[in-house]
Amino acid sequence: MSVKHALLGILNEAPKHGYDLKRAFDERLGDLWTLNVGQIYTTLDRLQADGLVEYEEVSQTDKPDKKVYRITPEGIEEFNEWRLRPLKPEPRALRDELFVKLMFLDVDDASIMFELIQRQHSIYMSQMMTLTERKFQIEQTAKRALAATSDPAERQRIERHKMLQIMLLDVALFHAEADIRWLRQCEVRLKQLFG
Amino acid sequence: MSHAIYLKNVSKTYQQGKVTVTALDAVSLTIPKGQFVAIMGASGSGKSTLLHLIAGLTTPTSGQVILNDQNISAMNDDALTRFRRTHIGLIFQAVNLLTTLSALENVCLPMGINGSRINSVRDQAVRWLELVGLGDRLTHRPDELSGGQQQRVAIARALINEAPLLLADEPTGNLDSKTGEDVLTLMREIVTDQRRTIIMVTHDPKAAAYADRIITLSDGRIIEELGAAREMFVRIGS
Repeated sequence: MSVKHALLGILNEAPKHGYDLKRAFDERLGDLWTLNVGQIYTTLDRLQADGLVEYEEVSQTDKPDKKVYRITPEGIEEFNEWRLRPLKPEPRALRDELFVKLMFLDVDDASIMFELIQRQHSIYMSQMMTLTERKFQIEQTAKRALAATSDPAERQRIERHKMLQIMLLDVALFHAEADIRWLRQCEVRLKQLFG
Repeated sequence: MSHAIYLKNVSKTYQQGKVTVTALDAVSLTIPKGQFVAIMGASGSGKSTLLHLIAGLTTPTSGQVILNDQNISAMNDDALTRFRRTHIGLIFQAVNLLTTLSALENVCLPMGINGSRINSVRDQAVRWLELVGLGDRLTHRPDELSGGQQQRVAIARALINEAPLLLADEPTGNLDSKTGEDVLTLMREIVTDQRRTIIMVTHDPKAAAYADRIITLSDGRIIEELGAAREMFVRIGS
């Protein structure tokens, strides 16, 4: 997961200090990835060491100085190059713990295996319910926001924000669905072998 | 408090030659009003039988099916027909709209053969078709509509009699992913905004995930329930 490039992208839009950066990250990617402030500062340090961002100390009257980070021209170049570069043509890494357990299966454990599969199926199904609920909330919120404005630029902004949030949830949903279909298939095959 | 659906020890068996087949085995189930329930299970699990029993399309071998406090298993044909017309809306995978009638006329049909000639019925039909996003297709016939649009006409048709209970059997089965999503979101909205009860049989996890509660059947019995507690949070929040 490219945290470095996500932060560069946010700074490319406007300079920010650490907490604002976290807030922007959470707002756009929070459904997919939880980052703590420490991870953000560590990444910023690395970006600064690589010359891709720089900071300015801004003095505040009754609070300690805060660092406001800004993307450098090298940072902008790196970000744009990364953004338009196609992904490597590798299949997604599949490290499924359940499959490792299945590998060690023998006929005496078959009923336990069915139970494990059933339980995993329930977990994925529950996850899908939670994700779908969130998707529905996003739809309804956008609907209400659209009904409240006739400004075309604002409407575009609302639609775009909604689309990005939903695309993110869809990735999780499609993966959960794929896992469920695999589990069902496993069950069928195991039943054929072990009855 | 009356529930939308109460199944009390319901069994359904039938003879296949010398063998007795048990489609449903002493199933008890309570569904409160305003809940969206998905019923899942492999084929042969009894899920379609369960839906047909709730719809009053078949009678149980033993046990009672009680809808809105009324025991439909004890009703005669006339009473059952009247009850179904006012209490139940059906949405099946095979849409079966009448091909010689327009979308509007198809939606008016449950209100009587001449429904479309009555102003109040027409107005209702227009309202429901607008709700499902087909306000600009009122005069289109089924062959002028896409699969998804036909399914939405069928949904409007199922809604017009304001039945408190909607029963759906694989409603998104023939639809592409995005249209299916639109249909399911609409069903979810109907439950939330109009406090109707929806029971949906499906094998599709993405469809089931729209429900408040997922009941899984296997070999005629309920083997699992998911999400019942979540419904509480949805109600409190809305």
